[in-house]
Amino acid sequence: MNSSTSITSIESTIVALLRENDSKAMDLIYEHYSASIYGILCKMLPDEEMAQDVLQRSFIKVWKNATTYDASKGKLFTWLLNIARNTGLDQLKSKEIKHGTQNVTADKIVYIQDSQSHSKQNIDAIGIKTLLHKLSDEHRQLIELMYFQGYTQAEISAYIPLPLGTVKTKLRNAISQLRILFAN
Amino acid sequence: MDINAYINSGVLELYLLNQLTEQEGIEVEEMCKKYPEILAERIAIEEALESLAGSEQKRPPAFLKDVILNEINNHSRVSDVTGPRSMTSSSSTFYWAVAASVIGVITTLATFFFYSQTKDLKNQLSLLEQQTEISKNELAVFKNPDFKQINLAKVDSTKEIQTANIYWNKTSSEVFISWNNKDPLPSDKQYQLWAIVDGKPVDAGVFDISDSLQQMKRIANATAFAVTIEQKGGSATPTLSSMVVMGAI
Repeated sequence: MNSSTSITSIESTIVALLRENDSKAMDLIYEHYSASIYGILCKMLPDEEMAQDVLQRSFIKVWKNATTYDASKGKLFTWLLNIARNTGLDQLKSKEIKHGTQNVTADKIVYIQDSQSHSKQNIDAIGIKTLLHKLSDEHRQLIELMYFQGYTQAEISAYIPLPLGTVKTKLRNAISQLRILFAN
Repeated sequence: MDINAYINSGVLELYLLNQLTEQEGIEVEEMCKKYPEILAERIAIEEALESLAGSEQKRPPAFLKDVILNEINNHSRVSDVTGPRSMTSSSSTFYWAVAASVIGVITTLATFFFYSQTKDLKNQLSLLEQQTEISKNELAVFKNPDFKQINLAKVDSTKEIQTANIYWNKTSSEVFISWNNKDPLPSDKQYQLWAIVDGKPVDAGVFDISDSLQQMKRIANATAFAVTIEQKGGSATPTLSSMVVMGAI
């Protein structure tokens, strides 16, 4: 797949620039990942103003920790999103906004198809919307809570009556289902 | 080591969602280094999650990119010189500075706006007051039976000059002119009013076009009034060829 090759080469270019502390890396990161990260922050945080503030703080953190990124521990996007998610959770805590006040129904999620930065991923956003909706309610809810909103296992098991040990296998099943749907 | 059991436990997903303790995380990293199948599975999950995020993406407002990249560039410059500083406080300082400037600009504009509005209103008010004063004076002239109205007729009937009226109070010698002609004169010319006293023209003052009654020089005795066009400031003797209107008492 050509698109995944080009993603990989962009990713390795960015990683090389980060290692050299070259701020051009941040421009590229913004171009390629800000919309994906911002989309998640908007679901996680009560308003877009806060999402913008958190996006800004996250980019500063990424830049401050540029040389600490270790590709062997995970892909660049995983690292970026975890920084942004933690920054968002910290912000919620500092504003004493109770995590979980947001409505987590799937209907609330706004699917925005953006042709510019993620067309490279060769993804049909409408298709994925359908895919996400093809999951069972339980699987979809788990992905929304854990991936999009940053709930912990413990919070999930309190939120949905589920034994703590089963959360991770359910999550595994949910993501596996998603992967099967992607593959088709 | 049962690789499939490890993969199926869901620990890789939790690792990628940053939900493991530091120790548990290190274990996962060790496993990935040791078993290529586990690493491949981890990467496959990451790609799926990245695609999922891509499908839910939302473009941040356009201004944000410059704000963020400027701050990053400022940060690199400052840290080169003075070492690290808190970006959080710098970020909020930046916002406050922007907010303060915006408020400053708005306040200035508003002040200026209201200042000009007030000034306009004041000007309008003083204009109204002046007009009221003029109307009151005019009314006093018109109502006063001592004022005699003299109609001045145009001298050359082919010229489009309207008639004028003189209001003359013989007792007080006050003279007013109501000049209805709206045609402007060349800038070096002015109208001049003459009173014919004992058969000779006497200067009664110069005037310009005006909507209101204009007070002229006092004239005690007159048999007629006439208006000529003269050099600006008036002449000592009238230019008879430029006489426009005239009326006898």
